[in-house]
Amino acid sequence: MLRWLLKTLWLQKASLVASAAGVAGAFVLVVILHAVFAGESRQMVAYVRHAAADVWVMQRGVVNMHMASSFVWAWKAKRIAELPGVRAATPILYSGTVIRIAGRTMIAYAVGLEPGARRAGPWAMAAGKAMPGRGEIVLPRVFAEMTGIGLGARVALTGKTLEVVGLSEGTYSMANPVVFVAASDLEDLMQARGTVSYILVDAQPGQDPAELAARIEREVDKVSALPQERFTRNDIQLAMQMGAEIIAFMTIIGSALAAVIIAFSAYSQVARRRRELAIAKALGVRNREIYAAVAAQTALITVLGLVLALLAAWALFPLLSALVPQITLVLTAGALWRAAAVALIVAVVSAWVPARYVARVDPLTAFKG
Amino acid sequence: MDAPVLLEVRNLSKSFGRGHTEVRAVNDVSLDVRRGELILVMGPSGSGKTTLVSMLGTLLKPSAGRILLDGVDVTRLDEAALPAIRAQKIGFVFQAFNLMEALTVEENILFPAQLLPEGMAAARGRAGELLERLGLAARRHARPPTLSGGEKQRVAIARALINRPPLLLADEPTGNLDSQSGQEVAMILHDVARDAGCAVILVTHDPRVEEIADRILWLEDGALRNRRAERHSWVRCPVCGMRVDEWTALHVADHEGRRVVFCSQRCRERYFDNPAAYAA
Amino acid sequence: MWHLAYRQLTAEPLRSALTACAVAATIAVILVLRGFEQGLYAQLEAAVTTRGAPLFVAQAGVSNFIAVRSSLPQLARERVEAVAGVGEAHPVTGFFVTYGPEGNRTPVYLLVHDTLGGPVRIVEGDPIRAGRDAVIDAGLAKRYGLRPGDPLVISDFRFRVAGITRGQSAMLTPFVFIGYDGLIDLFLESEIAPDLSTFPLLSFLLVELAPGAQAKAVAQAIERAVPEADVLTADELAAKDVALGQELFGPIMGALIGLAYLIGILVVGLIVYADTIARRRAFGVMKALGFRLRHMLAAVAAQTLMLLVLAWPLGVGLAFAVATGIEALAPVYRVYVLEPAGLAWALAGVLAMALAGAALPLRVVARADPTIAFQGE
Repeated sequence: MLRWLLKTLWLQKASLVASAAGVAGAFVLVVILHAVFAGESRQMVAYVRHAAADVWVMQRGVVNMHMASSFVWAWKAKRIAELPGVRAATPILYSGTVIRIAGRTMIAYAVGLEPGARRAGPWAMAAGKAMPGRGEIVLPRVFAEMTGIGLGARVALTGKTLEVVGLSEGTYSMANPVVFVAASDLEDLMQARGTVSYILVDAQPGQDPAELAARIEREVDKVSALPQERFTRNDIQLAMQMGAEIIAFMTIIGSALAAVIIAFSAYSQVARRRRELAIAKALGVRNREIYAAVAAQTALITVLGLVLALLAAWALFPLLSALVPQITLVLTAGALWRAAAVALIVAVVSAWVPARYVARVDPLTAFKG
Repeated sequence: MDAPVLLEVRNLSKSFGRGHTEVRAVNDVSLDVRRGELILVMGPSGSGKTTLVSMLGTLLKPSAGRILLDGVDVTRLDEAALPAIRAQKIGFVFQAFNLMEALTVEENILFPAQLLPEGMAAARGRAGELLERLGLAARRHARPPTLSGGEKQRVAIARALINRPPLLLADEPTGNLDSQSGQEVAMILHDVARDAGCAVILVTHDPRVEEIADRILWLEDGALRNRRAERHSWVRCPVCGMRVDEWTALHVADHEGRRVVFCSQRCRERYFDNPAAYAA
Repeated sequence: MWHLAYRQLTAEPLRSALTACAVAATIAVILVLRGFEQGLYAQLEAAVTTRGAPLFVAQAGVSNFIAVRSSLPQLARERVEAVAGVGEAHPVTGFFVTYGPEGNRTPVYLLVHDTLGGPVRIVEGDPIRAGRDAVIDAGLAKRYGLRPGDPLVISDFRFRVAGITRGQSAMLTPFVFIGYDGLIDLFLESEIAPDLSTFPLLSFLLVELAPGAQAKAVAQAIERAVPEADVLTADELAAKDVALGQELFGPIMGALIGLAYLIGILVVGLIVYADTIARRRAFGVMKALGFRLRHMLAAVAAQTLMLLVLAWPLGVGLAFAVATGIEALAPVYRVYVLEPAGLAWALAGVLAMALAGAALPLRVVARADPTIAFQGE
């Protein structure tokens, strides 16, 4: 029966490919949102990763950077710099803002750099200079691509007009693109006199960051101090947490759609072969043998769909990211396993419809014209 | 017959394949068919009967020759012009009935009427008459899966006649029917030719239909022989004893100066394995 | 051909129902995705328009409400209220913070208000009465199992959930409403603002008009009186926030919806293709009977459109059910399936998708061989 069924499927290649393609599309829906959030969360922490402080100091109760508000008295940076085990303490201002470039309005996160700062700025440049002075701004290169501007262009950051002096690499993400300005410009905008947002602490060689963080929290009031790794993880978790529900919904919706497509496809295949099924039954083939063949059929369509989906994802995601730079898609092992698990459930569930049909086929119809 | 000639066929041929794989399915066939004639086309399997009927029905383009239907050379027409010919000039009756399963009897009969300029509404009256004439009035709302073989074929004949075509082509119309139904259908086709003035060309193996035909055309290896209805020449297969028509037998051999006729290749092989056992 | 299509659908009710379900499922996915996108933009709009005032005073250069920090001088309120045509000016402050235990944190939008601009309606519990009271959106409450009376720790400061509101979220982020007393207590306890007069406490002023005053005229007068501020109407501000949302979410939602349409074309194409293959014999017979290619294409198109007529209401119903389920399980999201303009666009898209899908088996129909009618079944 299995051989019969597989040969039957093979005879209708176009139909099989269309089913598998539809199912693949549904699976891509399942994985794409996870890929968006995974890509976004990796991109979102690019600044933190590349700034690579040993310890991050912020307002007490704040544990991450993205979508957080942190105010720390500026003088605390000097206090921290004097602590044993600290090599340097670099304060930055940080604020979510809106930037207007060439008539388009986009979300951005502004990092305000002290004059003469040698770190905490962009780590790779596509053009121009890395550290902006007053009245200047460094934008992600992707912004320039999206809006068609270049060095020397003027952009508006909440009422302040700034000149583009540099285009940075690796600083773009859909929800958290990072722009660099002079601290004094950002102070004006935030009206933050005497406060900073985060303090990047570099440890002395051999100093354990976790120990240093604990020391800072003991010695300096009302601050949180987190080692780099934990700070980074908090931001990634936040992004994934924001997407968790949406990913779950999309998984359910995509899986349900895949199941419907497979069930329909399998049902069509067996319904078209009603006479042959009746003949098989008349010849003595038992229902359970036919069920097994039908289940193999739905499994085959499911697996084909999954393979096509993964191939499509692997081939198209980088292409999509290149064509639409706003989106970064990352296919993770977790997403793949989840898709495979979903596929298994879908295959089992969707075999039910054609199985019921098979049960009702009357072998007597083999004798009819 | 004095009736006018409806169909003129001149040197019609059809080949399939090329070079050493070329097969001549129909070979230089010429004939005239008059209105009101019932003509049988007979011959062994693979003799080209269906190919010939397909060409007469404009479903297949000939490799050579001409077909004039009601004065129009259909072999010279574009593909785009042929549907109108099929809709208005030709009716088909198939061995497999080919009814639309989803439509009722009446709807099946009326189905081709939408192709006429005057549309379906004008054909409703004719459909009613055909239902009565073919004994289908009580089944007008039934669907094909609930009909017997004979009823289905009568529906098919009614459908073929709804647009009043001058030519009716029937391919093995009794092939899937029991004896009683087959006889009914044969008589219906006979009456169609006589009363409606249709030319009816019937492809068949059914010997009963020979009795009611005006002419029997014998097709063998693609070529046509025009012959009057003749009796069969029945002999017995020396191996199994089955009655075989010598005229149409496929398995014939010469053995010891004698012509031996078999019912099948199997009997022929068994004979030559041990001729002495069957010599009698 | 309509009659034939109708008959074919009704002749096999189970198969027709199943095919309608398959198409309906695809339609539902398209509608849910579109509804989700529309919901994102509607939430951004509502974040502004439900604040209860026709005019918004913001820091000069600021033309968005959410996702941007705005700082007004604290004395700006007196100056605005002194302008002719202004009824009253209500302070509002907003910024993002993160809430929750480590490993399960979520951003929330802290919206500080005084006499206007608070939650539209309380569905459970009470409004803000005491300094540390907070009213949270149902999305946050559901996510963390919060009830009125529960503590709410933000930036190491302990608020108390006084009440729960609904429909107050935007940018995938639930709102938390507190009063200025609570904000000042938070700043004082976190020691970041010993001198409140220099601290940015004021983001916007919500301006109510005096009876008979014209919004545009009052806006211009305020801008003259307070040059460090810009004034926008609620509609203008909402539109700009929606544009920002479109810039942010547009590409990914567009990709998802495009993918859903592609799936739809494949599903419809698959269904029509399977059906056409099954009816190949019938098409051959139709050719033999004299039907032209356009008749047979009309038959395929009629069947596809009839299938849509069946599937569309099913799909809309299914989408509505899914949307209701999503909103019940996660109140932070809005899924607007039954919005007329959106439905009309979706229907047009689905029609185009159906016809594209029906074009897939074109070759099969065009090449249907009439001599198949002579072959046994």
